[in-house]
Amino acid sequence: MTTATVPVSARRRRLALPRGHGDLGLRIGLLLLAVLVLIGVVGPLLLPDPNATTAGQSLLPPSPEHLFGTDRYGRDLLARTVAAIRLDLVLGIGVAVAAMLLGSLLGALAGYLGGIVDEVVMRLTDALLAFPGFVLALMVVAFTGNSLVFMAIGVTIGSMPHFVRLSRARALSERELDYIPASKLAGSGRGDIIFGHIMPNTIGAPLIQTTVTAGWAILDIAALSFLGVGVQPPTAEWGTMISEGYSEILTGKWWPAFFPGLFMLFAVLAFQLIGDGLSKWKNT
Amino acid sequence: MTRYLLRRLLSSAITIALMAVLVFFASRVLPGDPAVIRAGNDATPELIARIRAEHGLDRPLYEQFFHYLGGLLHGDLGTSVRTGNPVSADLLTFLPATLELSLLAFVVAVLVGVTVGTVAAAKAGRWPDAAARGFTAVGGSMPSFWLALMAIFVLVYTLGLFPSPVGRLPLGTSAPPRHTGFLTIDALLAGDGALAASALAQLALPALLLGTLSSIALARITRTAMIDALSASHTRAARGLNLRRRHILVQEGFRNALPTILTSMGFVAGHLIAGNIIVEQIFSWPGIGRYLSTAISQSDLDVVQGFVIVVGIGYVLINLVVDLLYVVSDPRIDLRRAG
Amino acid sequence: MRRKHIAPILAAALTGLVALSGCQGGSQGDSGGRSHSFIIGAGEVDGLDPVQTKTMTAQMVVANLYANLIEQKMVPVADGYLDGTEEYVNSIVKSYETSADGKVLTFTLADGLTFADGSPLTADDVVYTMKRTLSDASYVSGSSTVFMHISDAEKQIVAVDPATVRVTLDSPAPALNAFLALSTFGILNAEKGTANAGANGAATEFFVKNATPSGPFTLESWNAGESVKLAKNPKYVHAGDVYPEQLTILNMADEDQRYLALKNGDIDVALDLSPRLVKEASSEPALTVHSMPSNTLYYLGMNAKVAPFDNKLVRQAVAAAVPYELLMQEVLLGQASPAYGVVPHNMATSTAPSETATQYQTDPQRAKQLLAQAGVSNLTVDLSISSADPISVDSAVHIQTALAQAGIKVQIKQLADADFETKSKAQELGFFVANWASWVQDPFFQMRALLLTDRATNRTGFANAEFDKLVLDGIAEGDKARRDELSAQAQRIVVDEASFVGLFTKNLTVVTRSDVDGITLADDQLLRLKYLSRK
Repeated sequence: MTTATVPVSARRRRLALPRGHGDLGLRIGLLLLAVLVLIGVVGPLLLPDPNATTAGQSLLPPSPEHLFGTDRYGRDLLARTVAAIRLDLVLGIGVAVAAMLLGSLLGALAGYLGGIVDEVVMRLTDALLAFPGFVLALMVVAFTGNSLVFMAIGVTIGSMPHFVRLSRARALSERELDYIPASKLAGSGRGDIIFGHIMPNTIGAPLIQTTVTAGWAILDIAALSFLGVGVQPPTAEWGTMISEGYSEILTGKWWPAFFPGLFMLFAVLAFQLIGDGLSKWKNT
Repeated sequence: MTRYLLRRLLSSAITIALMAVLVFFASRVLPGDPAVIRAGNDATPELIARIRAEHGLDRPLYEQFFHYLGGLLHGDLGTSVRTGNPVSADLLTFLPATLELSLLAFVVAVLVGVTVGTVAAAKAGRWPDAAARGFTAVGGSMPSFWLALMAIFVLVYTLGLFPSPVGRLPLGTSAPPRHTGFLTIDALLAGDGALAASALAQLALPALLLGTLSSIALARITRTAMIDALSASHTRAARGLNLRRRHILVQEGFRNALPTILTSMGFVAGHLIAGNIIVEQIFSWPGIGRYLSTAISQSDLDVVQGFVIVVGIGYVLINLVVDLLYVVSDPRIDLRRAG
Repeated sequence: MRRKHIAPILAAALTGLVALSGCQGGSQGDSGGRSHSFIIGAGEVDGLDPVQTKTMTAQMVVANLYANLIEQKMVPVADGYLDGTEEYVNSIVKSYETSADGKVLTFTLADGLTFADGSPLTADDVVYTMKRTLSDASYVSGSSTVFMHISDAEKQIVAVDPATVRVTLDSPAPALNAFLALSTFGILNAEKGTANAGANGAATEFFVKNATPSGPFTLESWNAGESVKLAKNPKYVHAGDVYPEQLTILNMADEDQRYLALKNGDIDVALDLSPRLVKEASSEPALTVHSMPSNTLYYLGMNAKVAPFDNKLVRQAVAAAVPYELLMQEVLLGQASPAYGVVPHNMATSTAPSETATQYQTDPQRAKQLLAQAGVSNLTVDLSISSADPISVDSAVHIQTALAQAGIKVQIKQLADADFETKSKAQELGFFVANWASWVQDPFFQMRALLLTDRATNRTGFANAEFDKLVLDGIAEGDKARRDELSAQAQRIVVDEASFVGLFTKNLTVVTRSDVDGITLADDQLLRLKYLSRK
C-alpha cells in the first residue's frame, strides 16, 4: 500500500534539522545522567554519614572540610546532596515507568475498545488533568497516609493522564491500519490484539515520554517535599533540603538551598535532554 | 460545527460533574477534624458536637454529598470554617490578586515563549536556536520554588534590583479604593500614578518568574510548530518565488503554526492558575493560592472543595475555548473524524 | 541581519519593568516620620469576638480593643521591658471589694465611662459580657466557669445599679482575678449585642466582624488577610496614658520578610521570629531584642495506652536519653529556660529546686540500663510532630540522634497541623512533641488542661485517678498553703510516671527598632500596645 492512502494525521512529520544538534543534546543528557548515577553509587561510600548531626557546627559555609557547607543541624551538605541522588532518581524513574505502563494500558484499552469505555476513560482523564498536579498528589497522600510510598503513588496518578492520551491517540490511528482486520481474520481475540499488536505499536512514543516524565516526577516530588509531604526527616531528599534551606537565604546563607537545587536541575535536565534527543533520533 | 460544539459542551459538563464528585470524596478524607480545630483549646465534647452539627459534618456522607451538590448548583460553595465567610465570597476577595499576577505572567509567558520559539525556528540549526533550546531545556528542568528563592537572593537581597517580596504593595502603603481589585488599575482610576508604579514594581519579579517558567512549553511548541510550518511544501514553494523571507515567516509560517500555538497557550493559562500556589507562598501574595495552602493545612474542607471546583471549571472552560479556536483556525481538520 | 520587531519590544518592556521596580527598591531607613505611629509585623486577624477561637494576632488585637474590669500590673525590669506581675490594678473599675468570706465581689465602675462611639458603658454591659463569656455560645466557658467558681452565671452576676456589679461565687476563687483580666472578658456593648443577637442569640456573627471598643484603641480599618489599623480611643478611661496614636498590624506570614522589613525600618516591631533570626537581630545595632522568659512549655508526650510506652521503665529510659541542654542550645540558641515537670519554675507552687534544674538528667547509660531492666531491645518508635512548628521539627531531629545513642531507633512522622491536632487530642499518638501555654499562670489550670483524664487538651492520655483528685481539690481550694501541698503532690506523680517530659520553656521573643520602648510580657503573652512609646 502506498502512503497516499494513509490519512494525513498518521504521517510522521519530518523535522528539517541537521542531525548534529539532536546528537549533542542526547550525548550531554546521557553523560550527565551517567555522572549523577556514578556519584550516587560511589559517593555514599566515600562521604560521611548524611544524617549525622553535629552540635556547634551548624550553617558553616563551604570549606575544604565541608565542600558544600553544613546545614542547620550541622550535617554535611555534600554527603546529603549525594545521598539524595539515589532516592530522587529511583523515585523519579519508578514513578515515570509506573505511570507509563498503567497509563498506556488504559489509553490503549480506551482507544481500541472505543465506545463507552473510551468516553469514561477520557472524561476521567480530563477530570484528573483538571486538578493542579500536586494538589492531586496531596489528596492521595491524605487518603492513604503521609509516607514516601503513598506520595509516589500520588505523583504516579498525577502523571498518568499524559500517557493515557498519548497511547489512546496512537491506538486510534493504529486501529485504522490494515493489519488489525487482517489479524482478526486470522482469528486473534481482543486480548491478543491489544497486547500483541496495539500496545507494542503504541508504546514507542510513550517510552520517550517516560524519560521526560521522570524529570517532571522529580520536580513534583520535590515540590511536595518542599511542603512537608511524604519525605520524613532526617531522610535526605532534594526538595526537603531546599525547604530547610529556605529561611537561611535571608541571612545570607545560600548554600543549604542552592546545592540540592542545582543537582535537581542537572537530573531533570539530563532526563529532558535524553527524551528530546531520543525523539529526534527516532524521527530522522 | 454546531454538533461538534454541542458534543464538546456535553463532555465538558460530564468532566466537571466527575470532578465535583472526586473533589467531594477527596476532601472528606483530608486529615484533621475541622470541628476539633475550630473548638480550640478549651473545648468540651459538647462544644465539638455542636460545631459539627452547625456545619453539617455529623450527617451521613450521602446526605452531605447531596447538600453539597445542591449548593453547587446555586453557586454555594460552602463556608470556610476558618474565616466564617462563604467560600465564594472569600474566593472573590482573593481572586483579583491572583488574576492580576497571572495575567501579567501570561503576557510575559506569551511574549517570551513565542519570541524564543520563533527566533529558534527562524535560525534553526544556528546558535540562536541552540541558545533557545538550552534555555528551554534548563528552564523546564528547574524547580520553580528553587528558582524563585535564588532569584530573590540575587536580585532582591544582593543586587537590590527588585523590591522586597512583601506582597502587593510596599509596607505601609495603603491600597487605593477598590473597583476592580487590580491594584494597578484601581490606582490609576484614583489618579495615583506613583501608587500604580509601586504596585507594578511588586508585581514585576513574581510575574517575570512565573511567566518565564510557564513560557518554556510554549517556546518549544512554537519552535516545533513553526519549523513544521516552514518546511511544509507550500511555504517552500513561496520561498522559491523570491518573496521577502520575513513576509514568509510571519504570514505563512505563523498562520499555519497558529492552531498549535493557540492550544499550548491554553496549557500556559491553566498552568499559571495552579502554579500560583508556591509563588504566592514565597512572595506573600494574598491570592487564592495562598488561601488554598492555609485551608489544606487547617483541614478547611469547604475551601479546598471550592477552590478545586472553581479552578477545575476554569481549566475545562479554557480547554474548551482553545479546542474551539483550534478547530476554527485550522480548516484542514475534518470535524467528522474529530473527538 | 534580519531584525524582528517583537524582540526589541520585549527587551524594552522587560527593561522598563526592571527600571521601574528599581526606582521603588529603596525604603526609608528611619522611623522619624512616624513617632506616634507604630507598624507591627505579625500574623492574620481572622475574627474579633473575644470568646471565639482565633489566631494569636487576633487575640492581641482584641486585648487592645476592649478594656476589662481589672488588668495585670506591669512593672519595668532591668532587661528593658514591662513584666506582668501577680497583682492586678483597676482598669474600668473605681473600686473592687471582696466580702470577708471571699464569696461576694462588688465592682464599682469609674465615672463617665463610655464606649468609643460615645454610648455609656454601664453595669449592664459588664453583666452582659460576663454572662456571655460564661455561656454555651462561648468557646472559652469551660475553664472559666470551673476556675471562677460560678456555676450559674444568670443568678450569680447581677447589676445592682448602673455603676455597680455584684458577683457571688460558690466559694473563694484564687484564680478569679487572672480570669477577669483576660481578653475573653473584654467589655462589649450590650445594646449592640442584643440588637444583633443573630442565630444563636449571642451576637456571635456580629462580634466576629465588628468591634465595640471600650479599650485603648478603636478599629480604624480591617483588610482581611492583609492588615488591621487601630487608632487611639479618646474615650478610653485612661486615654491620657496612651502614647500611640495609630497602630498598623500587618499580616506578614513569612518570618524572613518580617525580619527584613524590621531591619529596613519599614516596621517597628516584629513578633514570632525564629531563634536564628533573633540571634541575627541581636548583633544589629539598629534593633533591640527582648527575649523574655515565658510559660510556653514544650514537652515530650508518651501515651501509656500505646506500646511500648505502657511500660514505665521504657518511659523513664526515654526521659533519661533526651538531651535537654543540647536542645536549648542548638534549637533555641539559648532563648529558653529549663522545664521542670508540668509546672515550670516561674509558675506558683512549682517544686523546681532552682531556675536551672531539669527533672530528669541526661544519662544515656542509665537509659540503656532501664531498657535492659524493662527487657526490651532494638526498640523502634514513631515520633509524631506537627510540620507547622519548626521548633518541634528541629527538636525531633536532635532527639532522634540522642535516643539512637541509647539504642532506641526513632522514626519521625511529620503530620499536617490539623492532623496532628486532631490525632493528639484524640490521644491516638504514642510518642510526640507538643507545646502548651496557659492563659493564666495557675498551676492547677496548667495541670488540668494538660493531664486531667480525658480533658480536650490532654494529648498524653494521662489517666491517673489520684492525680485527678489532687487537681480537682486544688481547683476548689481557697487556702494557699493547702494549694501548695496539693500541687506538690500532683507534680511528684507526674515526674514519677514519666509520661509527660518537659523539654524546655521557650522565651517570648519580640524584636523592635532601637527607638521603641514599652514591650510588655503579660501572662497571656499578648502585647498590651498602649504601653508602646518611642525613646
